Amino acid sequence: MTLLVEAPRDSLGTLRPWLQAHASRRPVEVRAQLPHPLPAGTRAVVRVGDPRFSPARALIGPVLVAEDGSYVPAGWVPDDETLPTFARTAAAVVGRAEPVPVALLGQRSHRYARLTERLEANLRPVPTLRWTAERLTREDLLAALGSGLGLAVYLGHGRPTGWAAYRGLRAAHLTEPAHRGAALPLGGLFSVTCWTASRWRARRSFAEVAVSSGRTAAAVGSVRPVEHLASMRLVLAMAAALRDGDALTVGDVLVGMAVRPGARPPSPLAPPARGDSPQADAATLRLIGDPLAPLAGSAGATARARAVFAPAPDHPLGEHQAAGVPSLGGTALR
Amino acid sequence: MTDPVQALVRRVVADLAELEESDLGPETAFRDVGIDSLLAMEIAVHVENAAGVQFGEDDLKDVSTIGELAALTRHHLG
Repeated sequence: MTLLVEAPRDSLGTLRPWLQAHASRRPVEVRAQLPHPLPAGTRAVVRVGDPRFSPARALIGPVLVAEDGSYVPAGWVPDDETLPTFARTAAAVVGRAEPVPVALLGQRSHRYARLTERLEANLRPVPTLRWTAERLTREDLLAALGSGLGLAVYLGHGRPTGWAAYRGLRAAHLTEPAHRGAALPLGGLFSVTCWTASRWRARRSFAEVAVSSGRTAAAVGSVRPVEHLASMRLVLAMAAALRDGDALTVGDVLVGMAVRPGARPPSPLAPPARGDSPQADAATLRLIGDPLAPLAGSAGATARARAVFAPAPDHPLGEHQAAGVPSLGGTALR
Repeated sequence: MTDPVQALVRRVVADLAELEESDLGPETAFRDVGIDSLLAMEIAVHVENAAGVQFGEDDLKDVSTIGELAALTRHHLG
């Protein structure tokens, strides 16, 4: 199964670390222009191109259809001064293999707390970590996201420049050196919310900056508003893709969200194939970065992530002490 | 004779809300059995998937009972 990359010739030197990391695992084919239709056996597509294209224009949707009818996740990477960061970040995660929990991020509100609970319930037995805004400050979250996990999912309000939660986590916060430290990138960062892959009144969308800053090898966001029922459909489809064990990469999760079994109304995305049909709600999603970024984490990521102090607000202190978390007077309690 | 759509909705509600199917009828209001708006939305998505229909965002605003969700599903099934 081939990784198909569309990239300008003069960017290939910059992309080499990432291309080589994949080439040791699967066939990689680089072309000046994506073929139409996509050849059978295409595992994923990455389009590297003119940075003036927004995610909404660079890709027609989150998944493409190959000539054999299979669905292929597609990623967009702007060819600008941040391309070396993408190449380094994406190359660093390709070989990850450690099974890790999924980090659940979200807004401090009853609605999103409940939605996070439902995602958690639907994900079982997939292990999760709750890093929602009532548990972590923005600074702590930024540090926690550097644990080297495979996947983080945000539920809450969003804008092209960032999230409403964590006192407004903006794209600019992702690039602040003070928050970089020894951060390890995520495999993928999903924002199940409105607008985070849109460039409306933003030079780059939040999703693009998440990748270009080296925070994650892939980021998924929407280029339009996402209504409540649509976000519920996406959350449940994501949970099913992760829970049922078929998803190994960020792109696999995206395909699971975009294509669900059963009869569905026609979508502009693509013709139905193999008895499945595309889900219109996912048509507004775009993946920035590498669709083949694995959901696995870096060595030791689970231990680092579990050490993050993110208790529920009503969590009794004694239980943390029993779990070995420093008590009052220690450095982790605040 | 059991209405298959009603039976489907009852089954989904019972599964997700952890209730006994036999305690549920068409008049059962979601609110009365502890189902909030978010869980009702999740129930609706499961019914969509099982029935092969897709509700509109506004369709669910007037749905507060099992019978009403079954009627909405029937409407979308044509």
